[in-house]
Amino acid sequence: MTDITALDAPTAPVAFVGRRWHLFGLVLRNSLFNLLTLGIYRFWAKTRLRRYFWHGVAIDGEALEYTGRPVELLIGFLIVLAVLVPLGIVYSGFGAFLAANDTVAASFLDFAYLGVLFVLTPYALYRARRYRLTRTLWRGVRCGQDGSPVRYAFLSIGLWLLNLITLGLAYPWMRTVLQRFRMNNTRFGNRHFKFDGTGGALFLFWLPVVVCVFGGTALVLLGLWEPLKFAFEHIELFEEDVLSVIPSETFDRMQLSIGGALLVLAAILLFSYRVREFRYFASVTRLGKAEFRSQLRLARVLLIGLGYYALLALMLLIVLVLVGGLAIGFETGTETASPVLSENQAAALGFATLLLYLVALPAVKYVAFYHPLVRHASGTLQVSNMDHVATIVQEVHDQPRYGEGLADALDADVGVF
Amino acid sequence: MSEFAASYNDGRTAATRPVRVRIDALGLDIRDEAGAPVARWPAEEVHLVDRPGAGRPIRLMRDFEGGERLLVTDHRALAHLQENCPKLGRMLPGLSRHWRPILMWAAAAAVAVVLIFKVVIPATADFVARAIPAETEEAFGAALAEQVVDFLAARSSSGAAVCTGAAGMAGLAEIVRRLEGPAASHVPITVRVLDLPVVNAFALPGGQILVFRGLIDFAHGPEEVAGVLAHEMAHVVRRHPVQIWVKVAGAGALIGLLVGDVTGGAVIAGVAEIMLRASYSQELERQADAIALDLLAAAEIDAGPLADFFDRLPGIAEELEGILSALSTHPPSPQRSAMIRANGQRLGQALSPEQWRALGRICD
Repeated sequence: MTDITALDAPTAPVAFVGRRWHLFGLVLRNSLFNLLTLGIYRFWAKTRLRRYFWHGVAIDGEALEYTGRPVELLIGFLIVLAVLVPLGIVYSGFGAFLAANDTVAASFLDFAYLGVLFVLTPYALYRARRYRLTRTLWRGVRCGQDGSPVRYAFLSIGLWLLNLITLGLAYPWMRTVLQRFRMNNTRFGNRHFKFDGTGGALFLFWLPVVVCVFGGTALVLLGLWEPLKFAFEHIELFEEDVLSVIPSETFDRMQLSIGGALLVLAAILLFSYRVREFRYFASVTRLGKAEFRSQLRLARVLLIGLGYYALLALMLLIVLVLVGGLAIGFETGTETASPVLSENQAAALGFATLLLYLVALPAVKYVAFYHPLVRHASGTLQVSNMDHVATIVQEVHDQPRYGEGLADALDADVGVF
Repeated sequence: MSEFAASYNDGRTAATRPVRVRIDALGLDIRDEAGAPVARWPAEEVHLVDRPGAGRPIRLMRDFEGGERLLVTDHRALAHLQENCPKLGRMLPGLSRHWRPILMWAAAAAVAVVLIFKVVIPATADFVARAIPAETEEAFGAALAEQVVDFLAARSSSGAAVCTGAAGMAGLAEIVRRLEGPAASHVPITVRVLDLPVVNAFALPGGQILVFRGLIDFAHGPEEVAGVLAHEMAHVVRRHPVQIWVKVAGAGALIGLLVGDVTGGAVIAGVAEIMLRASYSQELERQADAIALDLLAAAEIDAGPLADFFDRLPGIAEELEGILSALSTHPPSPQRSAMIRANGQRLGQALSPEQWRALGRICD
């Protein structure tokens, strides 16, 4: 079903040309300015990042182009601010009123708010995608996206509910149906992409993930059942160190270790599923006669992921050591004649370290995760029948003038990509 | 030699064709392999698409609209381009095309934000505070007070939280009675003294006022305690505790929106929230001070000692200088005592000396 046949037509390579340390400097500058401008710089930051990534992807030797302007994002944001915020305030007041009078109604209001967020988010994301596509050019021809964001939102919600009801088994169908909606509505010039995939093709790779998650969780809970029962029965002992009080025989080591191993396996299988999904989606996507093939490698993706998390852990360790060391330096200082660092100095240094961590964190994410991932995904992508693409005509369509305001306001994860 | 090989996209289709480009002072003369003219780009309309780097061809666009593109692989062309095309390095159209909508929407947003902070949030808070029925507020406040008392009891040295000395309670009740009349509160006033050496007092919703033993010990006379009680009763009457709660929730939501989806945004929002809470609360404290003076005057209690009280009040005012005082929930004490001296009336005693001594022993 998912044995992907190789392309028999002449193929053009896709490559990513970008300098990692240039990206590092870019993200550091972005984070710094973001903090200094209390977040207003984020529109410029996002635009610069997108230009870095878009302009680095070269299809058949020619790079993509991102023509979005930060000003468009800024105006989108201001529009949302002027319109949505008063509504939000009225809602807050109403919510506080209900909370004082009727806590049940207040909880309903909270759920209603989450519900609205849930509905608005796919709507906002679909619109944001349209903005990004209409700012993407290749050989001077613009991409586009049609389709109603409202329909997309309802489709998304329905599929999520289905996913919930089936305890996660419907996930491949959810992903496929949404991808189909998006891709069939995506245009390059006047030509639409075509997506021919089905969820069933991927189900065999998703099932093990679900089995491992449920199995692992069940075993872990079983393993913790006795200790928890013991803790509840002897709740008066909670005043002391709880962990030392619960006898270790109650922990079923066998169940816990197998359960834990299953959960780790589930994580790896999830990565594996996503890699397969990417390859499958590429193989069933067409642009006229042009076809796509991806040879994304699971091992490579896992390595990138591991490298990133290891780096994160290392950074966290450094921060903890520094801040802890400062605290100790201050402590031991007060016991002798003069403190090594005054309280203010220690606090300031600790705060500065934390700030550094905040600024460096996104830099590490982009350099150690996104950059190698995009490079690998590009390098393993092939497009066939490129000469056919040359016949595609520019489309003079309506484009959104301002972008992403709603998604930004909802904190929906538009991100760079 | 200012003629170079290039690839050209006409912006109408995705086709690319090899061309030869001549760069001169007039601009770019683009011709095909046979020499037939393909396009002419005026010099001022030639822009780089992105910064040329090693391994990348030079990408050029014509003006900022349309899809005409030129790809030059020979980097020697760059010098010629820089010489002849004045706007080569300008890769974005600049704000001049957008200033009108930016200004309009920025102004609208700024007006909306200011209106919300200054008018909508306080009005909503006021409305909510008033709309809550007195019985509900009472019940809520009583429950909250119980929780607070339990919480503090765990930290008190004697284990018991509330002080119950009968004579002292009588003295307190006397002061409260004199102030309650003019206050005309919508909920009954309940005052409790907590056995902790803290110099503080606060009002919870529903007329629940908690005073710490430390404050009574710190006071030099009953008029000071009466002044503090009048201040807390002013909070109750104006329903400040509920108002603060609504304002902070609303403002917090607004700040979250403003700061948006940015790493470290939570830190920024948190700090901003603290400052907002402080600013809203300082305003309410000033109101409470003013009303307290009215109550004291109506109860014929001398307001002067209250000013002395603030003068002696230690710590926070001195430690937080300048900008940092904006973080405190109370205005700086010197400001408060000055205001009281300017506006307070010097009238009578709050309690007799024996009653005052009894009050001092309320926790024994």
